[in-house]
Amino acid sequence: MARVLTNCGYLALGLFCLSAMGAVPEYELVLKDHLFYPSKLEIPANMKVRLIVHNQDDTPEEFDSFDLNREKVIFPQRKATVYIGPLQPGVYHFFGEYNPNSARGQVIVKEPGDAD
Amino acid sequence: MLINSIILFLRDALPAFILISVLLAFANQQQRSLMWLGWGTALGFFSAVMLATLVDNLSELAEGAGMELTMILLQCLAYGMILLNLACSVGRQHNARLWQLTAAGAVLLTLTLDGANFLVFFVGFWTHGTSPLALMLGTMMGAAVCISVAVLLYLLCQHWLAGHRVWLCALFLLCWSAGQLVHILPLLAQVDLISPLQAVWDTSQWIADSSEMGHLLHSLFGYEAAPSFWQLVIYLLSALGPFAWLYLSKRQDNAAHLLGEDL
Repeated sequence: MARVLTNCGYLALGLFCLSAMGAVPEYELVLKDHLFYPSKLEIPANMKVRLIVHNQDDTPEEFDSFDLNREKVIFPQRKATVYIGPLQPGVYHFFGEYNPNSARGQVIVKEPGDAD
Repeated sequence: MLINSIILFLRDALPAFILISVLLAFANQQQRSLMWLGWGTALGFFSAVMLATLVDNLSELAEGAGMELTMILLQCLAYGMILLNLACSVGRQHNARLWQLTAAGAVLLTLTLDGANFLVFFVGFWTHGTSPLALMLGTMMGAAVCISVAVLLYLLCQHWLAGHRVWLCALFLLCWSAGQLVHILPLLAQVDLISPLQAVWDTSQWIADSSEMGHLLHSLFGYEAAPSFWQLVIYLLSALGPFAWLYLSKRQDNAAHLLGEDL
């Protein structure tokens, strides 16, 4: 009986984790020719999001942001995941550490339902 | 590219120069052999090359958190090595071999952590770079800045140690290592292993993290323009906690020594 209960507990925990993981919205950034696409990424305010950065260049790049306090090296033809937020509405800059003049972008955080 | 290379030096190479300067000042003042420097730098360069080679696959592990977890582990080990080293330099522990081992270990781990990032950048640009001259100039200027800061710091530490202000040197080394240690929190938040960090204050209007001064202060003391509450707590505990312990234990030792002489 105790074993069944333990297994049920693990199952419930697993389902909870899965639902929690699914609740995090996912956004994708592509790095190509040392430019980020899209260069302006809109995300909802007060919510944690999963940002997937896909480096399509043939050189490594470091996704870097002082505003978001994040830095992650992404190897050529690889994807990397960075969690950001929850953030207050505003504009948060990011750049490619190795090509800071060209690889630049912004995360624009908006309240849900906020129109341009 | 020029400024970028200099900033990369300030961020990734300067911490290793700072650590070596302070340890070298301690070693010279306490007349210790320089074996630790040779072993630490040689093994550090080797392991930085190894990590730079493996980092591509390493970062895919643990659902993409492999690199962050490796960095956190190495950072914690480096902090532990520095604590043990200080215990040998200014605390109760007077084991000369332990001093050598921990100094070499701290240099090895710091070079591994910072060197790997450095190599990823340089190898990428030397093979595909479009402006090798700017990269070369940036490398030379960055190296010159790091060497200058290291020499100045070495002279300052020697001055402190010669004037029996060993505690200032120890406090500086602890602040430096605490600054390196608190960097693990944003890494943990980045891979969603801890809750997001909320800034307690923001001084980026005065000294921005992205500025040259911000990079320099970050390398020296772990400066953050917008630190979180837990970063502050860990910084203070990891810098002042061991400092207080070393100071009090040394005072007790001195008091016991004086009492012994009186008897």
